[in-house]
Amino acid sequence: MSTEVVALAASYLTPEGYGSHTLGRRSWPTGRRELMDIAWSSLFPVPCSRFGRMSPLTRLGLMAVELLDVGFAEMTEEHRTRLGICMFSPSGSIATDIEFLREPGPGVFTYTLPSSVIGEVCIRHRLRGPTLCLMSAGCEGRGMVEEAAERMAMGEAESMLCLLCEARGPEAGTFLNYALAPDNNFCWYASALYLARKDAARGQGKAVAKGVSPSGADIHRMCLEMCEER
Amino acid sequence: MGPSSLTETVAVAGLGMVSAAGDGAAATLLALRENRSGLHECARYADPSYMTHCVGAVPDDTWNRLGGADAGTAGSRTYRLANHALAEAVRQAGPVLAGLDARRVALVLSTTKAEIGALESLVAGSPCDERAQRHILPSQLAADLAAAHHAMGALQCVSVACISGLVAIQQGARLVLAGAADAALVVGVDVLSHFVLAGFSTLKSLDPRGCRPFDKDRQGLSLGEGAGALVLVRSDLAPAPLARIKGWGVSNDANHLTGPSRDGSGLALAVERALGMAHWRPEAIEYVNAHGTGTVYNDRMEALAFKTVFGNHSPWVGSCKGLLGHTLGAAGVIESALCILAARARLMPGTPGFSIPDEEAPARIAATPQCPLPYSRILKTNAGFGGTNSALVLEVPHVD
Repeated sequence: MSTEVVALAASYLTPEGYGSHTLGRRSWPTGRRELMDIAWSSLFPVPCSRFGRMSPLTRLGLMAVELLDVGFAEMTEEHRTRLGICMFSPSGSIATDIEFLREPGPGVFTYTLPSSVIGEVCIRHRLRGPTLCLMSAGCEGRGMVEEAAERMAMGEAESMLCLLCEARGPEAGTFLNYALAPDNNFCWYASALYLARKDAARGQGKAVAKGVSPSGADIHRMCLEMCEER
Repeated sequence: MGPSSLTETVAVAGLGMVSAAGDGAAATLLALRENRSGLHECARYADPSYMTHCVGAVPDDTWNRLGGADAGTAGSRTYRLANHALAEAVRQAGPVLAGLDARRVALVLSTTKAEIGALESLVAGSPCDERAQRHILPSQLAADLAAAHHAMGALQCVSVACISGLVAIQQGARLVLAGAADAALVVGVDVLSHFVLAGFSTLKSLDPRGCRPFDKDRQGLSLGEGAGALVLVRSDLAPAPLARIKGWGVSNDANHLTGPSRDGSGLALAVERALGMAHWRPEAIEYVNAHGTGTVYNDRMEALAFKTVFGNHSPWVGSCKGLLGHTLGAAGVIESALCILAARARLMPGTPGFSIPDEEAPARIAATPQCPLPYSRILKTNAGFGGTNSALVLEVPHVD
C-alpha cells in the first residue's frame, strides 16, 4: 500500500539550537547548552508538572512535539483518536537504564523504556492512534516516513507524528561505543515531523519523499530544511 | 475512514518457543495439556529487596544445554534463547524458506531490555562477555540473529513495552504485505534480570504467591523469561499454513504512564481496529488469549474492554501468564505461537493460577484445558506501560 504524504510541521532540538517551521532556526540563548540546562518554561508557555521527573529522552521528545505547534487542543476527539506516532531512537533508554542501575526507584524505572516518550506525548495531547517505536541503530529497510505513510494508506491513521530522539551520555557511549558513537561525547537530539495524506491536506504542506533511511537521518535533515525555509 | 481490510493474508509457516513451560513446541503443548504452572521460586533471584523470587524461569537443564543461566558468565543469554526458538521455527518452515532469496527474508526482533544483564555487569564494574555487551543494543542482537539464519533483508527492532511482540508480528506482516520481503522471521525475547526484578519490585506490582489472572484474590504479576518465533510468509508460498494473520490494531489510552485506563476503552479500540481489518464481527471470535497479567487493574481493564466489544456474548477468555510468567517483550510472540499450537491440537488452554472468579472478570474464563475442542478464530491481546494496547486476529485452519 502507498500514499503520497506531506509534512505540515517540523521541529528539531540539538545542542546547537532548536527550531520549527514557524519559529525558524534559533540558537540557545547563551550558546551551546546541555539538555539539563534547557528551561522548559522559557521555551513553552504551558506548564507540565511532571517534566522535571521525566527522563532526558522523554523530555526531548516532548519538547520536539511541543515545538511543532500543530494545535492538538483544537483537534476533534476523532482526529486525535486517529493520529498515530512513529518513533525511532538509535539507543533508546540506555542513559536511564544506567541511572536506574545506580539508583533504583519507581520514578526512574518508569522511563526505562524508549516508548515512554510516546506515552507522555499521548497523555499530554490525548492522542489515541496507532504507535510504533523502533530502536533504529543498525536497522535496515524502511524509514520512518514509509512506516507512517503505510499506516495512513491502510486507513489505520489519518495523520502521523514522526519522532526521532536520542539522549545518551558519555557512559552509555563507552558501553556502546563500537556500535554507535565515533567518540564518547554527550549526544542528544530530537526531530519531529507532522505528516498527513496529500489528498487530505488541502494544498498545504511540503511533499515528502518516503526515503529508505532507517536511521532517521533523513527525518533530521528534512526537519532542518523545513525550519530553514521559513 | 476505518482501517482497510487485508486484501491478502500473511501465512504462518513455522513456530518455535522456549520458556518456563518447556523447551520447544512439543514440551510446551504438554504443559498446556496438564495446565502446569511454570512459576517457581528461583534461587538466582532470591534477593530480599525483591517482593518475590517466584518467577517463570527457563529450567536449569534447558539453560545448561544452551550454555548456562548466569548473566555474568553465560555470554549473551538473549541470543541463546532467541536463536534456539528461531531455529525451531525455521526448521518447521524449511521447505517454504528453502527456495527464497535471502535478501528477501526480513527479521523483526521484539524485546524490552535485550541483554540488560551485560549492562548490570558493566555498571557494577564486573567482567562482561564481549558478545553480551554487544547485545545490550537490540539492533546488534537482531543483526547477529539475522546473520545466523540467513535473513539478509529488512531488519527491525521493536520496543513498545509489553506490546512489543504483537507489534513485531504486525511489522513482519507489513513487510510481507508491502512486498518488501517474501518472508519475515519474527522473534521475541526477554530474560529475567536483577534489573526487571528490582524495577517491578519498586512498583510493588509482583504477586509473592505467583500470578492469578482474573482471580478474585490476585495481587500482581509474575515475571518470566523466554523466546518465541514465527516465520511469516506470503500466503501463496504456504498453501497449508499453520495459521493466517487476519488483522491487527494498536491504540493508546492517553491516560497514565504505568497504569491501564480504568474503563478499558483503549484496548477496546485496538480490538475493534483488529476486527475491522479482518472484516470480522465480534461474535466470530471463539477464543481470546488475554494479556491477563494478574494485576488488579490490568485484568479489570481487560474485562471491561471485552465487555465493550463482545457485549453479553463473551467468547472463552484465558491467560498464559500463570504458565510462563510475563515475558515482557517476548510475550506477544510466545503467546501467539502458543495459541496457534493449541488450536491446531484442538486444545483450548486453561488459565493456571485462576481459581475464584472476580465479580468483574469476563463471563467465560477458560479455567482448565478443554480438549478436543475445535476452534479456529483467535484474538490475542497485550497492553503495556505508556498506555499502549495491541490486538492480533488469527485464523488457524482445522487440522484433519
